[in-house]
Amino acid sequence: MKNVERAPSLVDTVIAALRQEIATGTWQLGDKIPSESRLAETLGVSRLSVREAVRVLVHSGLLMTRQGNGTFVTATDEAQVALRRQLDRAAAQDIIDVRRGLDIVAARLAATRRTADDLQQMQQALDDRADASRNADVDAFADADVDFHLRIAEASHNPVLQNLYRGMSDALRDSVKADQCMQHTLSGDDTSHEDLHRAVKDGDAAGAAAIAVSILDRQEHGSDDPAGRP
Amino acid sequence: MAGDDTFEPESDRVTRTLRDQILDGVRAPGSKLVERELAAELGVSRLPVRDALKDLVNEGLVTPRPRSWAVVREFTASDVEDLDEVKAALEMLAFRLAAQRRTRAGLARLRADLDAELTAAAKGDAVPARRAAADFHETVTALADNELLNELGRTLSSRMRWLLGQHDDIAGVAKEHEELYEAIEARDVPRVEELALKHLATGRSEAAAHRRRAPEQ
Repeated sequence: MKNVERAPSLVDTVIAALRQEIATGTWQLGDKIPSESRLAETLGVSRLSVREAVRVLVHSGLLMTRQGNGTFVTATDEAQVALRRQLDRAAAQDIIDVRRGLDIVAARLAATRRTADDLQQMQQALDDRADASRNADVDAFADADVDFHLRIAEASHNPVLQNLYRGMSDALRDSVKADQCMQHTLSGDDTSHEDLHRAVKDGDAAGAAAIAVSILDRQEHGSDDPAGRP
Repeated sequence: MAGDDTFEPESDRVTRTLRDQILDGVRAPGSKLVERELAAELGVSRLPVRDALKDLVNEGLVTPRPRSWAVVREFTASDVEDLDEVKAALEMLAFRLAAQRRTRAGLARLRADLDAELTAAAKGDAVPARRAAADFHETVTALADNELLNELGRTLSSRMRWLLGQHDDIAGVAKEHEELYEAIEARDVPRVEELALKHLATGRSEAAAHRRRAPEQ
């Protein structure tokens, strides 16, 4: 089906207009942007042009669309997004490599040593994480996700490990935010963290360690993994 | 940039001296560290000693006591186990990455550590052999070229150096380091992983044997 409005110049104009709203701060980081029809009306273009422009900005990392919930501002500067992505890729891999070692130990020990209080704290973090996911709140999601992993480390009751995780929390937050698959994870079809909580609760050390690895595999290969398997 | 002059704050010098004495076993676990006595012994005022003890508490080598003294930390079996769990996870990563990423210059540094260890071990000089053994492990971490791993390594450095010194078979440990060096040089990742696993087991049994052999405090 061919559409006469698919003139690149028109879409480019819409992209420029949307980018302007972000650059000038009319739309702040984390804000939900107006609906497609609203934007089409304001800009005097078709919804299709708006949709196309939004798609481009989602791809470039400025916006994020959450199905059935709307579109949100995830970065305010495109150049910054590009630079950050480049810098983060190497650092993110470093963090994942270290986590691959430590998360397994934390999960295994937590499964054998966790107390009722530990489990309750983990559940709280998971609840916060789910709330943040529903609200497409990237910062709150990263905080809750990091909190969950810190709770697992606390439940290891190994003071050396606990201290390392406390000291690493900023790095963990970066690693969660750099997750290529964040949007996928935010969409809520990933139950791996709930699975990890269950394995820890059940005292299943081997299972907990395996799930900890799968979470990192998923984070590392996120966008290459089309199926939302846990 | 640091290093354009050789000035070292007095408290740093005191920290370094006490740290070395603890790691080398000159100051035994459980022995008292009294501010006033240390100040007299090292010819400094009490203030740098106080700062040094604070640093060593943070590094996990000294246990604070109320008022103006402390004791050299007595690592319990469970302390050692806690350290070893973390050591195992970080070292497997460090050895693997070192094999993948080692540079020619880095390899030369590792060779220097190894040679120092082999020479000391051949002469039966336990203290320098143990120091070089710990240096070898730190250099491996540096070769892994992972910023976070290096940062964690620095946080744990004193305790890890302590744990790495808990062996009596200095020739056996040096031999394992030589094999690890050769596998890193050859970039043979599966071999490095196999050797690193074996080396962790050796470290564990050596530390346990060393503990049993240690005089009762």
